[in-house]
Amino acid sequence: MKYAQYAVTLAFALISSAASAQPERHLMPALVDAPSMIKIEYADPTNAELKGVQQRLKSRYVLETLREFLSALRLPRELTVRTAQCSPKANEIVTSLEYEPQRPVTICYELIDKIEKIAVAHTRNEDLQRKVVVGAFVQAALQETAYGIFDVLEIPVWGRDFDAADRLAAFIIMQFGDDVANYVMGGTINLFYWSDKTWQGSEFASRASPDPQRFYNYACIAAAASPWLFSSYVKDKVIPADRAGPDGAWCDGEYAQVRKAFNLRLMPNVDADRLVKMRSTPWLAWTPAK
Amino acid sequence: MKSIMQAALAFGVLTWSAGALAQISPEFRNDKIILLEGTPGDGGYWNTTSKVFKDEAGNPYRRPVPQFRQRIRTRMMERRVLEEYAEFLSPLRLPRPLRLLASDCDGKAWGDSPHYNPAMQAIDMCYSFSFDAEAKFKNLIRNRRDDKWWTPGSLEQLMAGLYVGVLLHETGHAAFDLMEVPVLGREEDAADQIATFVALQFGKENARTIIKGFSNFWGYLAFVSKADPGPVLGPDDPNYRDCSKDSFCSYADEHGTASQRYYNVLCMALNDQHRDSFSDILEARLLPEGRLQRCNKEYKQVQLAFRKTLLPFIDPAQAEKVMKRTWFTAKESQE
Repeated sequence: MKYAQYAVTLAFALISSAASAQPERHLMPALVDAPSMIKIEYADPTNAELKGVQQRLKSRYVLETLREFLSALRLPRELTVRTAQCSPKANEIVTSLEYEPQRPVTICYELIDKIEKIAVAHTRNEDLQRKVVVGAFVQAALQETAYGIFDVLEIPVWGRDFDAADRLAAFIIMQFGDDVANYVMGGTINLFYWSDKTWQGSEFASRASPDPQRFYNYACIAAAASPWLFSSYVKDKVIPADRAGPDGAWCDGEYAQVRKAFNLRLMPNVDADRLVKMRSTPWLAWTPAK
Repeated sequence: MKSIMQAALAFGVLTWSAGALAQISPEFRNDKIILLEGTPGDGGYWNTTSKVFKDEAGNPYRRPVPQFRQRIRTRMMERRVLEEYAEFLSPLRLPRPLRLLASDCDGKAWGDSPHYNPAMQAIDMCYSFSFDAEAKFKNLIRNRRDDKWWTPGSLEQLMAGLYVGVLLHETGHAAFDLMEVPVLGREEDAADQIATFVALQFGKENARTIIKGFSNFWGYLAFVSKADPGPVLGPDDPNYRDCSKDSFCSYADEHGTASQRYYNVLCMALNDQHRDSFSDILEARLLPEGRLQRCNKEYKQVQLAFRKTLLPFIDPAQAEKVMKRTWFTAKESQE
């Protein structure tokens, strides 16, 4: 359990990078004692509107941070993580590209753009807007990267891979400590809560799960992982009793299930020495070594 | 843990732990697969609920099966559903016993669902579920033969396929529990994956019976019973997130929606390797093109998970015997 906290340093770094409007100070050299199998790329968008998103991510070293964090994983081969424009045409918005084995993991500029627009449309509270954008971005980055990890490490996945990636992302987010769990998970859950899309007919054939379903999946893990932060989801029946169980026991079971899968399938691929170093890294102030 | 213990005690009251192994063919016997009797000699087909109620004096008792559902029990006994399923599971090398029973479950007129009880390590098939499913399939065959969401089958085929699909689904839950298999996705979807993946390993006729019975049940719920969640309300609506009026809350169910389960089952069947066995489903375009394109990937994902986590628990020689045996009657394979 304790070891699982290594993973959240990624999200921590992403949060700090994405949340801060100020240029980061270089306080800590990068941990470069082992060559990373993670390759990164900020692909150039053709859509001029998305160039700003690319620039923001680039100037905040989002992918460098992601690579640094993932270097604790002993990957047997290279995995490329990139940010890119996913829509081939201007009038067709694509916010997610399905991961294909042996291909790069892609985080779409359109998704980040969409999250920002949803946040602005739903609240005038700038703090809440920021929380939702940061939380949802970290969640999306972790979920997309999870597909690549499943592939590279040949992790057996039971259940829909979309939900498996989501549950792994949720688990990681909750290992961060209270402040970050509250911020990132809170932002993620808010975004899903705002969803007002009605699914019907063949839309249910989608590989993705509806946002309300994701809301309950994340909320259940949050309530189980940090009841002192999220117990109101159970007490106030935000999560209905027939999902949460008596005193949240069924959510506890879901969380234990993901934790077991994480410990059995991911932990054997972690470099323990590097993990120790990473856990002592002040990620809030982290930037790449010059 | 406390609730599990309580459930185990409640379930265990008045239960006969002795198995009914004598009814299982010696060639397909597995000492870890036990038919759990409610009363001696019932062979695992309880004549009561499995739920324990209390009378006015506080004494525990189980309610008898109502007369109108007795025929389901009789038919299951005649068909040797539990015995044959125990034989089917004989290749499993289980670390702990798995118990099988059929009962009137909670005694509800409608809505009891077959389930795996981890406290007792028991799969409980509910008579009321079968009763309800049969009524649905009869309506489908008699009145909705021209619906475009399904390819017709006989009542016997649909019922037999559903039975096995449900038993395999519950066995999936049992396997995750008994073999401590790590599950990263949602367990209910994972159990459906096990059911469909195993079905596909047993040749075209068997696979068609199970896939059709299982998928058409979810299809019926989705397209006839309209069980999928309705409109999700926006923030301007006065009933926003009021669970009695806003379908947002319907998504809290740990199961996928009826439509999701229908499409998931079809997608598993339409992988490259088995697609030819389901050409009618393919030609009827029951699965949208976008999803169809990733079915092979989904099948391979499940294949890898099965190979890594469950195959080590299967006796290959016994599995070969099971795979060679004919499990469905001619009527049950009839389209």
